[in-house]
This record gives sequence, structure tokens and C-alpha cells, in this order.
Amino acid sequence: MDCREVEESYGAYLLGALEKRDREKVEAHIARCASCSVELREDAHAVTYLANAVPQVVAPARVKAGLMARIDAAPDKGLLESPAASLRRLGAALVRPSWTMAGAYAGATAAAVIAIVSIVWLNDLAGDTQVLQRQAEIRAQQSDVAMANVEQRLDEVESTQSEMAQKVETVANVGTRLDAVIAEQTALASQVQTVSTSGTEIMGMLKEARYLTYMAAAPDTAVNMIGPEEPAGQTRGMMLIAPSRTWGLLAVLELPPLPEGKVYQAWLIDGNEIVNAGVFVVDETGYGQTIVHFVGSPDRFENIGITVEPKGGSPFPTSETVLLGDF
Amino acid sequence: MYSLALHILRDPGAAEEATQDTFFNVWRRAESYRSGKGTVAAWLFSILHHRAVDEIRRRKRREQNQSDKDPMTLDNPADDTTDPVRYTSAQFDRVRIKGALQVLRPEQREIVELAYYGGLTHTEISDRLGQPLGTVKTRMRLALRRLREVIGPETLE
Repeated sequence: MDCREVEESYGAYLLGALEKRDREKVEAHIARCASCSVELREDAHAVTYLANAVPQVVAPARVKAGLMARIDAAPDKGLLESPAASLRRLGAALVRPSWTMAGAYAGATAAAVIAIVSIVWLNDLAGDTQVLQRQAEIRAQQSDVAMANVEQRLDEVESTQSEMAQKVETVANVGTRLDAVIAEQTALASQVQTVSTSGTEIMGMLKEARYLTYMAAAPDTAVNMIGPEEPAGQTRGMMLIAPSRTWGLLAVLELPPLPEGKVYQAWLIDGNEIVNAGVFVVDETGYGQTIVHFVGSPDRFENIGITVEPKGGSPFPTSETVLLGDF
Repeated sequence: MYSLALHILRDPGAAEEATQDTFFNVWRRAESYRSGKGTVAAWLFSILHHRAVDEIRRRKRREQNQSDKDPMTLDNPADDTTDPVRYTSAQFDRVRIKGALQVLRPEQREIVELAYYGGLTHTEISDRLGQPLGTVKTRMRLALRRLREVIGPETLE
């Protein structure tokens, strides 16, 4: 029989409507065909509906008695045993580890079959309360074992959980520390920034201070005093000319401080020509200085003037002269 | 188990013997059960059912050799008509089963009753109802599919 023929005969086979020969053919096919076997299994379950649809009758006690008598009389006991004994065996098999999986499985399956058969038999006969009680005792033992296992697992889970909680706390602490470190670092970084900025300024100041020292110390440095054209308090200036006469240093004293956005600008005046001589600001004492580069010789200039200009300087003077002097 | 045997065989003595035989053989052959074949309940019922049906067919052959009596079926309970009480309870049984089988279509129900409870072969059913054998087999398959839907999937034991 092939799969198709077997499939056509499923219904008849399961309903017991096949003749013996056909029934045997179907069974032979199922034994070697996994897919047909699976199909059959689902339908076999459906047949139990029919089996249970009949009016239920309690079997007389002699039915069980007769069966036990036959079992006792049987020459080869093999797996034969009382329902109670098979239940005990099943209970033992469930809680005891087995040495060989295959052997244990076969043994457990057979024992399970017997146990289940026993339960079906017992339910069917609705008899012997003692055995039912024994059943209940075994179930209680099994559930005690199961409960003990569950409790053990719960303990394990709890201890794992508390380890986890500690780890989480540690991580949280580390996180907080990390935040603190980052904050420190940020503060330090901005301090470094500030320091480096100041450093640049200081270097600049040192450089200019060096010029002054150098020029003051060098021989052949010409010094021209610059006085205000009109008396303007104590404001006065000085032009130091380098020996090379290509540049000089203008130093001014007691100039009033300027508002934000304004600078002082110096001009060299040559007849009608006015040349930018540099911008500068004054410190809190009113002192300011700037390097002046001479285009050509410094002798061509007769005067020097200082005005107030917008920050960055102007191409030509836009305000009144605050200091004008002979050069 | 006993209930099914009694319903099919209609004789307490025969039903007792069939039930005992089934359990005895199961105990002897417990290893022959393979879980792939279905639930243990299905297995047990199928063994009992085959045993009962074989008995019915044996009886029929005996009766046919002896006389022309019709095989006993649900619709033809030969002995019950002589005893009013048994007749009534037999009627009640029929109603009960018919109720359970309401899930099936009428043509399927008839065939299932003749086959499963009556023990007829598919050939005998085809003859009795005058339907082609292929139709009978198909209706049997459809009936089981329908029952499968009604019961739902097999649950693990």
C-alpha cells in the first residue's frame, strides 16, 4: 500500500471498518512511514470521542477480580504487576536519576503506560478506594519533591537577584564617580584655557617690556620727549629710536583709559603727510606703548600725534588730538 | 472501556471478557505502545474496539451459518423489543449517542454508527446503503476530520 491508498483508508481503519487483511496492510505501512503515522495520530485522538459517547456503565467487581486472577495465573509475569505497584514504580522512576537514558526511557515508558493504564482501569471500574488513596499519596510525595525543587530554585534566584542588585549599585556608584571626574576635568580644562590665554598675554607683555629694557640699555638710542601741544594734565610721551633707525618705541604716560571699543592711535606727521604709527591701549595707570616702524628715515617726521579711534584703528585721524608733540 | 464493549456487544458477559482481554494483553505488551501512535487512551480504546468488532463479526459468521438473521446494529436492536424496559433504555442510548454525533453531517453519522458501533466493514456498509465504496471511505475520513475539529488538538498526557 502506498501513502495515497493508506490516506483513503484512514477513516475506515480508525473506525475499525476494514477487513483484517486491509487493516494489516495499513498497519504495516504506518510502521515505516513517519508522515502517515503523524496524520493518523491526530485522527486516532478524534476516535476517542466516539468511544466516550456511549452511555457510561460501572463494570461489576468481578471484572477486575477476574483480571487479577488471570494475571496471577499467568506463567510469565514480566511487566505484570498490580496497579498500585506500577504506580509506585512510576513514582520512583520519576524522581530517581537513571543510568542509561535509553534503558530508562524504555523502562519509564513501559512503566508510564502501565501506570496510565492502571489509572484508566481504576477510573473505569470506579472501585477500590484504598488504591485511589495510595495514588493520592504518591502524587503528594511527587508534589513534595517538586515543591522542594521549586523552593531550592527560588533560593537560587533570590541570591542571584541580590548579587545583581549589588552589581547595579556598584555600577551606579562608579557612574557617579565618573560624573564627578568628568566635572573636575572640565573645570581643569577651562582653567588651563584661562591660563594659556593669560600666558599669551603675559608673553606679549614680556616681549614689549624687553623692548623697553633693551632700548633703554642700548647706546645710541635716541630718546625724544613728546609733550602735549596744549597742556593736558600730566600726559606726556617718549619716543625711543633704535640705533638702526628703522623702528622705535613710543611710550606714553598718564593717558586716560578708554571705553570699550576705542583705542589710541599714533600718527607721524611729515609736512602735509600723516602716517599711521600704530594703535595701543593704556593700562590702569594710564601707560601705553607701541612699536613704530619708520618708512624711510625718522628724520623726515617733524611731529607725532595721538588720537582716539575705533578699535582696530582708522586709515586717518577722525578725532581731536589728545597729544601732539615735536618729534 | 467496559461501557464501550457493552454498548457494542450488548451482552454483559461478552463485554466483561473483552475488557479483561484488553487489559491483560496491554499488560503483556506494554512495550509495544509507541507514543508516536497517539495517546494511551486512544491506544487502549482502539485495542478494545477491535476486539469487540472482531467478536461481532465472528457472531455474524456463526449466525449466517445458522440462519439469515440481520446483523445487529443501532437501528436494529433485535433482542430489545421483547423486554419493554430494555427497549426503553436502548432507545435512550440511541438518543444519547445521536446527540453526541450531532456534530456530524447525517450521511457521515449514519456511516460512523454502522462502522464504529455496529462493527460493519466498509464493504458491508457500501452494500447496505447502496453507496459506492469510495464514497463510504471518503465520508469516513470527513467524519473523523469533523470530530478532530470538534475535539481540538491532542493534549499531552
